[in-house]
Amino acid sequence: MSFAFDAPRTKRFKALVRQYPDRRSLALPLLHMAQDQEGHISRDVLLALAEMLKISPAELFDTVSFYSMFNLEPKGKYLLQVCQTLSCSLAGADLVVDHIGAKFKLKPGETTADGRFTLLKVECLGSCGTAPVVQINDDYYEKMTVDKVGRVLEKLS
Amino acid sequence: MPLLKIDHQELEVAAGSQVLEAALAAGIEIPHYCYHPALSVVGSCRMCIVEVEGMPKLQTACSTPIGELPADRKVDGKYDMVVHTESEKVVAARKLMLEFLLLNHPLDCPVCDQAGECFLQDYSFKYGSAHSRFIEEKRVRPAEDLGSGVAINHDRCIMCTRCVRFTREITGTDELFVMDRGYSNRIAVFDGLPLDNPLAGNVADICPVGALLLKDYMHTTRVWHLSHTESVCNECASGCSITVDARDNKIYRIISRENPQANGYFICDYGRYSFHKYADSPLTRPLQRTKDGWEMIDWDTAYRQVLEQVQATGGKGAVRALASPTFPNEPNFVLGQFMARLSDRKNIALLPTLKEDDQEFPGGFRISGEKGGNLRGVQAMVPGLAAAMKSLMRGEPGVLIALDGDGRAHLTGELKRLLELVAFKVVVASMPSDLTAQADLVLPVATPYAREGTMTNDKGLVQWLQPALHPAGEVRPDWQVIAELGQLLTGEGHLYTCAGDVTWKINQTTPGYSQITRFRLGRTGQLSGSEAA
Repeated sequence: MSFAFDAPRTKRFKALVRQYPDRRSLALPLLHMAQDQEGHISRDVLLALAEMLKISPAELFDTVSFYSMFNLEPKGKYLLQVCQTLSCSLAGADLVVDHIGAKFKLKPGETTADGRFTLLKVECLGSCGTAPVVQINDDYYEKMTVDKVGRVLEKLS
Repeated sequence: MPLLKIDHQELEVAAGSQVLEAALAAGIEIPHYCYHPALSVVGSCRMCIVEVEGMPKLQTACSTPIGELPADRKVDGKYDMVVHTESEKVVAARKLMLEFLLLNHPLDCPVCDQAGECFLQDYSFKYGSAHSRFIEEKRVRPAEDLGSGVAINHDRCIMCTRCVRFTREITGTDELFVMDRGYSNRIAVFDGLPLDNPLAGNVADICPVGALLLKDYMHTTRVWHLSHTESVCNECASGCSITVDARDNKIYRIISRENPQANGYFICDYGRYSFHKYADSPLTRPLQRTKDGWEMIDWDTAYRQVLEQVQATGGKGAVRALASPTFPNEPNFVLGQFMARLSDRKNIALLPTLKEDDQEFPGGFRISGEKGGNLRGVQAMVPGLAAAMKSLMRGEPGVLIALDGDGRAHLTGELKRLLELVAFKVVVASMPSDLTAQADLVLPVATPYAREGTMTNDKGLVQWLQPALHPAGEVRPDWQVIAELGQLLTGEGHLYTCAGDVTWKINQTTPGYSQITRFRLGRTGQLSGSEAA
């Protein structure tokens, strides 16, 4: 299965190309666009983007694998990322992880069978003042407790 | 030019050159892993750290350029930079760096092929600590095949990325990359796109540790059992400098040898693995064609045969010869000499060899498409060769003496016609080939890596071939066989006792070779001149 950008993203790509005299510098913007569209960066995406960027797929994968925010595997509709760094950990992030895990019968890193939820433990989300933090897709849910996370998940499912 | 003081030595260096470059050029060793003169500088291994006076922290010598200071700010009134490479601070830092590099290293030197030529071993011995403070479990990963006969042992890798930069900058094929980061960092190839280029073997040569290994050489012998012979690759007209590593008269591997005038730092895989095809040649004694196949005979009988056939088929004037661009200058020169006596060089032509397109790489490396490696040499040794094939077709059928091409002879229509025309075919060869298959008499000579003499590459660089092997059986050196044939046919003795004697004669008589002597050639050769005849 080959990959191609949809119409609005193709337009965006054409605009971006003009802004980057060195084509390979466009790697990160294109990867973000592709992940937005596909949900994850598949082998086909890498091959297609490498051709657009005029670099080898190996060099592009070098970059992709460096950044943890690019998903190489398909993820659920809702990506639940629980911060596990110091502040969040002290404020009870583990309880939140355990609660989500028990509710969906998930271990961190796994996706529910219906493909709706993926649970991840991640490093610092940069919101220590409102620990513990759960990032669901692009939104932060702050000062989470077992009760609060339960209510949020109820709304989603 | 800036004046650099490095330890106790004063060096004048070009402005803008790096400390490590300057030190290596002056023969001062600064330990390093990621730096390689042919590759871009990344400064990632941190082994080349040195102390620079006036700089608060240790600096990586590979990425510290030397500039010129204003007159009033010079150190000690005259130096632009003062560097200490072995100060207490530096040695202590190196010890810590080595401890880091060895955190997950399996320390499996007893079974590692790199042992004996491993910089991790050398510098650990010199600077490292006998103990690691790492008490956690070491990371263990399986070895992988990267393709093109190269395997990677991830546990031994120190992530210097020389191999990655090699595929990006030298071959331009870009197969290798660094996957993931931090603890799970490793060298990898993209799924379905393995290492696949004709220079791939070099990544094992430039790997400073035992991570990248040639499967061809793996677990065959230990490096300290090998004898290293500095020689030249014959496979094409690029004439790369190589080191042939052999043991008990058997070649185990060929590695590249630095020569800025020829190949730079690398060699191609065709040359690297070429020794396999020359191993165990069945040609060990002269062979005579009989009704039902081949008969082994001794040299005297063989030479008598040649003389009888010459007398029986048109005499000395009808003797034809083919010089070969796959043989060194010496046998070709002797052949040209005696053919000049017999028929004023009218009856000598060039053996056709394979021609392909040159292969060029972005890093500047070139594999010549001319598979007769010594083409330029032969043309200098025997003037007027180019147009001569046709003139061989005239006259009575006589004896043909052909220097064979180690299997690289190209049987063109013209050559086939010549072979049909002549009455008796003497082929001087190291390997069975299409040409020896048609011969009446085969005279065995040393295979390419058992040869001695000079080769001239397509840029005119003359290099000395050192024999890495003893010839097998009754095989004789090529120059000797030709000289003996010449003695037989001209009736005049020759005074050659070794290949070097012929080289000396070449020096005395061949235009452009007056600067070429065995001793001037040294390790990296000498350019032949273009003086007119």
